[in-house]
Amino acid sequence: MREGHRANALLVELLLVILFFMLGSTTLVEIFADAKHKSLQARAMNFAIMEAENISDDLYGADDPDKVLQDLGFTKENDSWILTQKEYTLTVTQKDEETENGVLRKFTIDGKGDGKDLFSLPSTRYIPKEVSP
Amino acid sequence: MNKRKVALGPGAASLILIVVVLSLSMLAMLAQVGVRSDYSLAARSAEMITKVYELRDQSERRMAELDAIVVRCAKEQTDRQSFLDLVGKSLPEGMTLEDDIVSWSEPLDNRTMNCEVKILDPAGTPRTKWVNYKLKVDEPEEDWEW
Repeated sequence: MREGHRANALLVELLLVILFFMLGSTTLVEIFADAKHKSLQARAMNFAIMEAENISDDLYGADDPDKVLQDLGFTKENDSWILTQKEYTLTVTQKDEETENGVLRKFTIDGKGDGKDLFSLPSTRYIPKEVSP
Repeated sequence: MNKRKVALGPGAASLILIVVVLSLSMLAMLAQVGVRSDYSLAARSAEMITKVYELRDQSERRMAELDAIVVRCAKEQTDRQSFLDLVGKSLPEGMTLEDDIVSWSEPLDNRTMNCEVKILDPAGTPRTKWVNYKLKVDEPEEDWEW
């Protein structure tokens, strides 16, 4: 009788332990998944900003920016150039500003990842025009 | 053959559960802390790079301003030295001329970009040329944590 009572208590304890383990592991799995997600976001941001820096420098020195963007794998959509990678998307838009004796050629490289705006990198170069004396 | 009896006493399973859950919680907490610091580092790095490019943008705008001054002065003075003297007098606040090098600094938050531009022949194109732009971090930001 006493043995049976002890076995029942053990069984109840085991059931409770399994229940609490399930509850605990559910929460912990969520925390681990969140950590993984955040880690991927950080990785995407690092890669995106590095690529944006390279693109910005390429565009700064480019005589034909459209060709440079095409060579880098961008596709033109409306007025902007878009590069879609696995973890992020880069959008390049060009806006020229006329100045007194030249043009300020300004590119803005916008990085997006996971539906969030990551950064907006400007790349401006002043291109002087020939001026008659 | 000896048979060993493995007995699981009352409370042993609960103790194992506590140890396992505590260990997993610690691991999860460490993973979160590591990942959060990685993320904030990446965000900070992106922010800093953006600021540097904003400074470059500002300095290019100043270069355009300087080019306009050079063209205006070249129309008034043909002699190289008097042309440079006139450029020196016409420069906006913050810009200084030494020989044929114009220098200024672009401040943004706690960073400063020191710029130097050489004035070339105003009859040709380009009329100005970058000699130097160096980024200097003045002091750590207030929320900087070591």
